[in-house]
Amino acid sequence: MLQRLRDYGVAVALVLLCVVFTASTNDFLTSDNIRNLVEQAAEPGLIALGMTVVIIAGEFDLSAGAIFGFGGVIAAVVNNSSGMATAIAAGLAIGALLGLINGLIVSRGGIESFLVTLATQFVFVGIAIYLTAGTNNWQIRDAEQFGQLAHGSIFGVQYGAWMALASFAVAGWVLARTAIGKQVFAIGGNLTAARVAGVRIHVVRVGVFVVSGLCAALAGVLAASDTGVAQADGGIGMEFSAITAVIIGGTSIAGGRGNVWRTIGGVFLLAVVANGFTLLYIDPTYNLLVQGSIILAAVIGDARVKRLVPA
Amino acid sequence: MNASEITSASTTLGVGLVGAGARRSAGVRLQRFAVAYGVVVVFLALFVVMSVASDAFLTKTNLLNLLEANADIGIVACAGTLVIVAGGLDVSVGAIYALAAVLSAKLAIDVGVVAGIVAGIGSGIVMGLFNGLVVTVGRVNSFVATLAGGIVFQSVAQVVTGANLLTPEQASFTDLGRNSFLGIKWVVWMFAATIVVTSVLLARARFGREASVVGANPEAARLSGVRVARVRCMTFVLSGFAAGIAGVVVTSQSGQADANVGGTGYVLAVIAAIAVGGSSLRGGEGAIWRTVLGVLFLGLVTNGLHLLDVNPTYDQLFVGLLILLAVAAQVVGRRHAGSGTT
Repeated sequence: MLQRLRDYGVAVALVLLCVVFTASTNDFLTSDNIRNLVEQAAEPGLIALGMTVVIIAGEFDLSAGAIFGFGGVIAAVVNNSSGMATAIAAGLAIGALLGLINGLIVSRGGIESFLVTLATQFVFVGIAIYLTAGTNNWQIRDAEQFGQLAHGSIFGVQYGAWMALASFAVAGWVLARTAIGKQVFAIGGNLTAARVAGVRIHVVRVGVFVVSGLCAALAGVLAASDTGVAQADGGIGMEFSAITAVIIGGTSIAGGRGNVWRTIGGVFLLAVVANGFTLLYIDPTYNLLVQGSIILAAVIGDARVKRLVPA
Repeated sequence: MNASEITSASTTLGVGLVGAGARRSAGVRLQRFAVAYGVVVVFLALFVVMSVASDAFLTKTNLLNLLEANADIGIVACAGTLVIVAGGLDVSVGAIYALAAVLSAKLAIDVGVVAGIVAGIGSGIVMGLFNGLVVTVGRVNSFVATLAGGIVFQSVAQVVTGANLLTPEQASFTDLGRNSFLGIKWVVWMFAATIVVTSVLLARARFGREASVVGANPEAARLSGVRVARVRCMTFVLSGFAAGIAGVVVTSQSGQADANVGGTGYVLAVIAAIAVGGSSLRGGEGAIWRTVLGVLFLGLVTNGLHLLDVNPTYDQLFVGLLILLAVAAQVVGRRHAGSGTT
């Protein structure tokens, strides 16, 4: 029972919150509001997805927020010179490249990822600012057209949300069903054992950082498309929100355990609290306090259950 | 952090820092020296380069400015070193700093200057104790606990200010941050006092030895009679205490506070300084003088770039590269120097 509660805690909490908000306001359970929630969760969701993969592999990526900004800036700059398709490709490619750099330093250099990505965060933001000629933001010239990426929709839901959903589905499938997915869990659970068992640990470790870079850059490109302007340091802090969403979902910070569906729960839990508070016209300064208290209660509760039910 | 990663990495990093008594070649000894004192060498090198490159650098005013500008980070980083040596990580210091700052400003305006100072520092201690209890009694991973705690503290700060800027302008409040003693600002004296106290605690007191053992091997510490929970909890209290002092001092310097000061950027600066100094994020091993050099090194970089008229928007690029270089140099050095010892 307790084990179940632990496994599905985030889902239970999310459902409870939805019930409360549905009962207390007429505007929560409307198709407009739900669509809004889903669309707004796309960007933080993508970063949290990459973070989940990295955390399952036993690492951290504190540079995800910086890559978010970097990807947006590259897309904006390239868009103004060579058009939209090239811009999107360039944004994603740079995300993968920055992730590759992180991964190589962590894996080949043998340095803790927490420190590596703390440092590269500064470096990436610095270079992105340099690319914007020191102005920190870059205006997209044909914002109307480039905005199509974020504002176009299928079945009334914006592309961004579909892309996030597709990314989660692919990542979830790879992690749960493929050999490479099992290797990600293996290196997060016990690196030495994974090495002995024949896992190519360097490849997998570098790979998870590339995935995180790609996810963060995709989110950054979407944000640039949405707002028509790319901000070099616009993603700073998003990495901590992503880590928070992963933790709330119940993925172990120690690595080796977790899945991406939990992270969706974590992302939506945070989004629903904020949304519900807006709808209830509660002073937004209390929003963060409630979010923080929920997070704190979740991590303390999780630790209690973990002790009662040894994994 | 990941336990297995730590294990496998520490097999390569290993002992490293202390020269064992056995006979070793001059090369190995040199490498050991470079690892142990690399940060000193790099710091001195940068210091000399700056002295040559800029006339304004080696002046009393500039050096005092350098100390003054980095004193608050330094105070927090010294206490943070104790947390890290004991195997923890406190990512809530930015939020503690923010709440202490706004509480001190609020009470200085509404009640009085003394109440403001006491409330700021006292709230830091309370928040540190809260973190310590969640980590030890609640048995939550310290990164997770302080991440969650930090969100709560920062949001309480928002509630306290109601998203307004607080400006306690009474002279007696701003005196603390703005006045000097023997020509040196009070905040620098407080940094110095923090260095002395935390150094004695870590290197000379039983508490420091126990913290090191707890960080290196909590199970061994428990078996040898160390009250692990108490030691770990105490490190978080000290960290909160220091962040509280920093919040009050900076508010007093600037005469204003809002809920958006501090935050994760502050935390990263603190952890970067500790790591650059060479204390291990894996716990068990570290020194206050290392952290002080780390703080001053990062401060020196920013100060130097400023004096050399480099566009301040590029500060982050250089700071990031230097953090990376410093950390990489330590790891590479330890790997070479540590060969054959593990």
